Amino acid sequence: MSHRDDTANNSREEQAGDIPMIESEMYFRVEWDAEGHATEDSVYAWLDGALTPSESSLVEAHVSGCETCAASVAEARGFIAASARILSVAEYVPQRVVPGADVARSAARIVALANAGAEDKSGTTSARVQSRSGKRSTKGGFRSPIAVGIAAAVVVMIGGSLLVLRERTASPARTPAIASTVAASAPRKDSITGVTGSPSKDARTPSTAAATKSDRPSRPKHNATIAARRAEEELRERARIAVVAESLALIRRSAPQAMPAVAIQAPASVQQEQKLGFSVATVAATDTVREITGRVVDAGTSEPLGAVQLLVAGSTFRGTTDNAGRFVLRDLPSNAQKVQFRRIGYAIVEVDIASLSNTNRPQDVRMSASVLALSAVVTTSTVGTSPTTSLRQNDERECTTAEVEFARSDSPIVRRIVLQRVSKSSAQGLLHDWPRSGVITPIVFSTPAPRAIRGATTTGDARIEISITMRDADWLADIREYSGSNVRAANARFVVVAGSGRCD
Amino acid sequence: MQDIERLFRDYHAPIVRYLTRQLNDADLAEELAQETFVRAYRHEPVKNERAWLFTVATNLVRDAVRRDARQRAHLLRLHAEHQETEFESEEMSPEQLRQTSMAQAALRTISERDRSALFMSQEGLDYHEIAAALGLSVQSVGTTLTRARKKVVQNFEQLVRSESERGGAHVAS
Repeated sequence: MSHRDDTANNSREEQAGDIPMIESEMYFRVEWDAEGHATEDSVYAWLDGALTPSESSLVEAHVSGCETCAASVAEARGFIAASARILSVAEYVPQRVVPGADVARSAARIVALANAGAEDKSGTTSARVQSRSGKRSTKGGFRSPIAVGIAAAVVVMIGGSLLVLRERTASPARTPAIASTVAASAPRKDSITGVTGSPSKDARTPSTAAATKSDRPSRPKHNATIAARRAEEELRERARIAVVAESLALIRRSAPQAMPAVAIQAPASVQQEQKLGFSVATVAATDTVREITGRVVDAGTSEPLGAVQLLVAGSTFRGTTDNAGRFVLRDLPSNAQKVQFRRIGYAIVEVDIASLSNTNRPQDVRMSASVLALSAVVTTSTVGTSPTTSLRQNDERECTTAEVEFARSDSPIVRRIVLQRVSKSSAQGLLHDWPRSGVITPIVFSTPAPRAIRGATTTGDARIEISITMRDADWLADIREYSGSNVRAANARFVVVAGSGRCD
Repeated sequence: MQDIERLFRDYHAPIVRYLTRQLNDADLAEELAQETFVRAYRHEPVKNERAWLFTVATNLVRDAVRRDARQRAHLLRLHAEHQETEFESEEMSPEQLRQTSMAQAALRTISERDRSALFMSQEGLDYHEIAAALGLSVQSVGTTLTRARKKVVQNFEQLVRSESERGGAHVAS
């Protein structure tokens, strides 16, 4: 590792930590070819959301009136989706999310490592770690009172881990009937940007089956090993939870100021979260870092809405609400004024950030269900371990275009059905195969029931039947693929993304 | 940086996933992830934490790979072979294992830089964040991602095709 590489690395790290000031350093610049079409790279950048809002509208306007570009967009979407699936298939470790209860422990370990400079599991280091971090906090470099609390927790942890070990050897393995996995498979999007799900959820009950893989072929010899390992893991996890709870009690006792006050959330929900010591909502009142929290609910039912996307124009902030409808806005530029809430099946809501930060009267953001909701282009990567379906819908010039995309869990090949002129009485569609583009099959749809469409088509040696039922806010799809003697079924609610399509 | 718990909660999973994809070694990935967060803890606060974390992680990957070329060759060799022992999850069917190794092979056909860009994009990083992490312009990130995606998909297709020509009974697509 040369000194030059070190310097390059360091400067890149520093640069990465800043947010670009100049537009050309933040956004992709659209390029148009001689015939006035957006270049391929520009189309991809547009789908990736890397254009300025005004250039994005320009491209969108052009694409909706240009057949060539619409085809480019469709092709680009196919490649983006296919490569996302290939990436997910390539990853052989199960998607990991550090369970909520474990975050404190892991974070504490980080602090201990940073302070002690070495990982040492013996009990004798506990005193040393504590005194070191005590010195550190008085130096003034790290002002958070949590530091002291966490350091205290480390002491308990180290002591606690010995306890865990003893417990483990003492008790026998549990019955193989336990079906849970420790690494709860939370949906990926929760942990990417913005908010992660509340750690105090029911994630730790053993009966919460994470993706139960019942449709995979099982091997008897392996099952016993898996069951035994899971039993062990579960035992360890329970002990861990006990240790965490213990240490957090210690934190609270030793540093009562440690948990930041929560101003916006309703008291009841906050109390629940405090049991595990975490509070998603934090309010920091400084000029440089603004953090605002809130909750989104369905205007009709008042139920919390998860998977709502948040966008703040002019900033890199992107977020989503967790399953309880909560969101956190942070690191907003000081000139940010509005935040947009988007979710398929609902009309876009734009809210003044100023009103969100009104802590005197916290109000939920209410979104109204609307079947024909969005016309802007939003892309998602639909990655999952079970058959996924997504429906894109756009209402343009009184014409509805919907796309249904589905793929088998064991194959990255995406099949897309494009429905045109979906209305209560008729629909026609095309089936595209990605990435083997070029195979386009017409589908005939009939509409046997109001707001439901059903159709079938044959492609290659597979027969595909699809039925889509439109409810108020939900869209349900049932897709069956008959191939030889195999029948595969995908049955899912929609992750509906607004897409732009063309209607004749 | 302040509030290491929040940082951890928000970014630990994506960083571990990113590192696992880069290294194909879950244990090393966890180790480097830990190192990333230790550095974050020591560092002063930055405006764009995600980009910073991924940049540090990418640099750590480069260092790790460079530092032990022998280990890297060993890793590459392991994953060139279709061995079940290299996979931690016992829950994968033979067909899934095959898809996984084909996908990994397809990913190896693009350069390390292109691959890093692709992995970061997968974790939701914006163009400018990828640009900063890899020392590229935003425009270059765009062209890189387009090229990388097409190449990976086309090469994967090709692998699927040649597999189905070779051993027709196994591939059902």
